[in-house]
Amino acid sequence: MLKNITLGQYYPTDSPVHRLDPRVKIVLTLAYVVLVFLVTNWLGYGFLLLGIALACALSKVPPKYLLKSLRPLRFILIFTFVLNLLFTGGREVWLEWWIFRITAEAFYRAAFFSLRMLFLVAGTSMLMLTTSPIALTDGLERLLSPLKALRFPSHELAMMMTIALRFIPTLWDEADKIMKAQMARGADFESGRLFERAKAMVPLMVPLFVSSFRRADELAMAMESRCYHGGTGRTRMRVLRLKWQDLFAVAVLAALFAATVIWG
Amino acid sequence: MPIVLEHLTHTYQPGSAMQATAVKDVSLTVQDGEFFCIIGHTGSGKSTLVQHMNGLLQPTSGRVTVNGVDLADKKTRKDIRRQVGMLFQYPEYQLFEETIRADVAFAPKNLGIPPEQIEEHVRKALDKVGLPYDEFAERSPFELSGGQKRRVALAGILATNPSILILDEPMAGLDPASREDILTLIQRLNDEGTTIVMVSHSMDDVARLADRVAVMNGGELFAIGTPDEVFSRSEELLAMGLDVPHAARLSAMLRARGLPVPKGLYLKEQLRDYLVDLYSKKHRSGNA
Repeated sequence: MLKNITLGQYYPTDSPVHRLDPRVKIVLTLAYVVLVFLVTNWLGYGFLLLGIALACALSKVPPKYLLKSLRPLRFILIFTFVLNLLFTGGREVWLEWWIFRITAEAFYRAAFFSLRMLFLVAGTSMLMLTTSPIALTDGLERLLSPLKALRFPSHELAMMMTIALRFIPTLWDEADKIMKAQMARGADFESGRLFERAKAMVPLMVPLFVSSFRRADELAMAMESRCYHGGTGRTRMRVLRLKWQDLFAVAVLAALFAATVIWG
Repeated sequence: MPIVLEHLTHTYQPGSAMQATAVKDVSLTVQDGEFFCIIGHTGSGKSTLVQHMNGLLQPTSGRVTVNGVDLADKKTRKDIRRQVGMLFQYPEYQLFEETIRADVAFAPKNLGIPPEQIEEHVRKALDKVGLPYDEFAERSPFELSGGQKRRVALAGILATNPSILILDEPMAGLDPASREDILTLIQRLNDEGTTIVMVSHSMDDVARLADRVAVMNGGELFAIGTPDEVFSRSEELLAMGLDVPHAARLSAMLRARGLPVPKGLYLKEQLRDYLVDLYSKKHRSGNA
């Protein structure tokens, strides 16, 4: 029933891309996003495609998964394409019907913007597919830690994210159990109209909230009894260290960047 | 009305990478009025098995019928769930209403008990579990003690007058007094004619109460029979890593030391009498 969920997009395997330092991956992804916006011609997209293909091949993530991550985008993609196609002016008219006029310029523009969106999502998906949620928050915490000088609670934020991620499967299990228990008492979660369905959720949501608060309370107690007092002075079990692979990844992206700026 | 499982197999998430077969080809029948216990390891498929008995899970292959009605038929579901009450592990976490009365009335309301009779059902159910209606009906279930909450949850199941009661470790996590209360209550329900199917880890309770016992191991039915038959295989159960009643464990240990303790002594009274007998015989022959 509720079992068929995967947490985020993470594709667990062991590959050079998976082993990259999460900090490096986050920074590279940010750079890649900037890069996507710098592309001005088709050749630029060629370079990006090359980059993505290389990352995908090295990461052992089946291309199918990468394509699947683009699927939720399809509506907004079609929307953008059609809007650009219909409402961009231009001289070289291909087709004219009623108030619509499709021009060559409009078509190129529509394709260009759609591709930009595709490449944006494909790049960020590569990050999500190859980095476990925990590694991601870890990397984020370290990257944001300079902001501590400005009193930005980077450790607390990362801890909150980690705990939230940790409890998602637990809560799914719990929800499944409560749902079954209420179904045994004749609750019906599957039929009825919107309002009735919303009302039918009450016997699920109340126990779920109650147990979430209980869990939060217990966890807080357990953390405090082990002397958790925030991030100051805390050492880590897995220290993030840059390796030569990380430098290699940076070099590859730098090359891509240079090529795009010069030719794309 | 008997529960009949025929070649029941259940696979979670078939076809995916996380495919797992929890129950493999289990056939068994629970007779009317029987006290039927299911024992086995955590993860041996007990909970999955019992969730088929009121149609919460559908078999991947095989058939489940209750009193001749095939549970694959969705139309009979309400009826089946009224007749087959099911209490999950830690049922107190399913309470959600503002008053105990409303919570206990949830199942009867959903399962088609006429509105004018619901009040009466609630009163009876609360009285059965030893929480007087007049005192408890208007209180919030969240302000009760753990044992009381569990009794309210049980009342919520009893309120539809089920003829079959499925209990998944009903005593887990209770203090000894509450344990005994719940156990006595279950026994009384069985005496009054309710069929009981109970999943339990407490072998002493099983030995004391069960008419028949099924042992699950790795999703398969390892053994089924009277407590006599099942606990006479104590050595096998112990080798499986299962617990056995204290008396059965002790007699297995004595047998291992060469004492002629017969198999099938799993109640402490039986073992005590046997040992006293053995000792006094020995003593007499030693003196002679």
